[in-house]
Amino acid sequence: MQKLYYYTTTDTMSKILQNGNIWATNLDYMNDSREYLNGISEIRTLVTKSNITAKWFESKQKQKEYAECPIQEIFSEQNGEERQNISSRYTISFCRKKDLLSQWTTYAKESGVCLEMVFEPDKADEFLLYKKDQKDSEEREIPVERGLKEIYYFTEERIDAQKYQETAEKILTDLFGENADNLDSESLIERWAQISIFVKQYDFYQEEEMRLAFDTMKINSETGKQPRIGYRIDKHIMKPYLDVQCKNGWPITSVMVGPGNNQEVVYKSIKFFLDHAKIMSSALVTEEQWKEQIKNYLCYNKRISPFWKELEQNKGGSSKIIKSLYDRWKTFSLSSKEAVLTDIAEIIKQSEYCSDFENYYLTRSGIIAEKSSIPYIY
Amino acid sequence: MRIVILEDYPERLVGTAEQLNDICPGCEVEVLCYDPQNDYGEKAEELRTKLLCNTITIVDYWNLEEKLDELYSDPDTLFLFDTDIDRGAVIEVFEYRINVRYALKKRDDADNQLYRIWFYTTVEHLKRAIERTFGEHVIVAGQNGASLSLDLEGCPTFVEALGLHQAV
Repeated sequence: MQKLYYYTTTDTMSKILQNGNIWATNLDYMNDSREYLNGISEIRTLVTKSNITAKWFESKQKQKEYAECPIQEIFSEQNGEERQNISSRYTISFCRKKDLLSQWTTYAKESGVCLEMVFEPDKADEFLLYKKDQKDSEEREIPVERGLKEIYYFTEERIDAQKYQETAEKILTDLFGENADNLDSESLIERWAQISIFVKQYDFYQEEEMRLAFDTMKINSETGKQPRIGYRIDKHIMKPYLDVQCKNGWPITSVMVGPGNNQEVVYKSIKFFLDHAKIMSSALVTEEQWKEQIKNYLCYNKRISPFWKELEQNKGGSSKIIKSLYDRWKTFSLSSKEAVLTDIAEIIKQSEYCSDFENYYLTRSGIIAEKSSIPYIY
Repeated sequence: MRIVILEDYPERLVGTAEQLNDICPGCEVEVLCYDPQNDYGEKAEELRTKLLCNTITIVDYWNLEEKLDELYSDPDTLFLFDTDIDRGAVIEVFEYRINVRYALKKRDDADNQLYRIWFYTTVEHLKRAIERTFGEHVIVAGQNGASLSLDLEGCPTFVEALGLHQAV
């Protein structure tokens, strides 16, 4: 499983957890509006000017095909500009790093939160969108499948030669295919535009971003339905967004409260919220998922995990407390959820491990509430 | 009989006219080149020879419909439309594309006449859109290097139309 992190405010978090939806922002209205332009122009430079492309085709033994392909015409400035003008692309960004100061300051504001989500790598997930003119109370009519894709940090002027070459080869593979046999002009222009969504200026490399992209034009072609577009106002700008619901909720396993002068009270309120509110998480639906989550919660503690492993391997010698946690965990079923969670909390409370779990709490919803360890410095 | 191909990248039609002549010997192939990026000028003749087609006509948004009407008035003409010719325009709704609009209109007008337009594309998501919209009037397209490869014989309605028209 791949763990990814979504930094946001507590207000947005409550909506994500209760409604299972995240707003995908229109690419033209991102914090850095040049993002998409960077992708379009960097790929054009790579394909039309760099000798890396010719060498790559050579390595695939496709020099003849490369020579015959009207690369300069396909990757022309005009085609690039035409693609830049299409405002039908929306994205949701995730970070591969937990508890990252730059993300806290940019996206979560003071005492914001970082949602941990678990995705299956290389697998498309199912999302639901509203059709144009549908009301909030109605069932979303547009199902779409999309997979997460890593961002390429790629700016020729800002990146060292070796890194440029490595990333360039990945982009060329995406563009022309593993065997360099996708050379049709129409498909190439389409892929150029699609891949550009995932190419960002190199200076942002520390974000380690993964992205989900939705193209309303593509969705209309695929489903015959036009998605509903919403608008949020930010500094007088009407920013278009797509309301994206993950089927059964986003796969959230933990909520971390970021640094802030009121971090303690925010943490307390989030524990209360997660203990009492009806929340949606597709990572906490089946019995197996719940058992895995409880095990991960307990074994996060380095004083517990070695003994737990021994118990799983049927070796004795474990501490009495860990043995009782393990035995209670083994009896877990969805119908006995409440009782098992209560018992586990009680065992921890009365044990020597109590202080270890002060800032790391398994709520009744199954989601772990935790606190950032970064000191409050801004 | 005549077969008209509407395409914005005529270079990728190398071999297509030959392919059409193989299954419909002696047919006339006309390429309507929609709003091309290249100013072919004197090179149009060179391209025509390269594509082995009979005629190349440059068309744009403003005269496409008129030109198509003129050609469509001859009942012995079949049409192959590239789906993605409006790529520069901000068209989020598939049915609003100029070629799709035209084809839908002709299909609605068809009544007892034979509807004579078929679509192809190599763009994945558009394949689903044309299949949904035009059903049996879709020709599977692939790529052979930088050239287009059309599975003309894999489209029964097109083969049938060819048979009917050849018999005329």
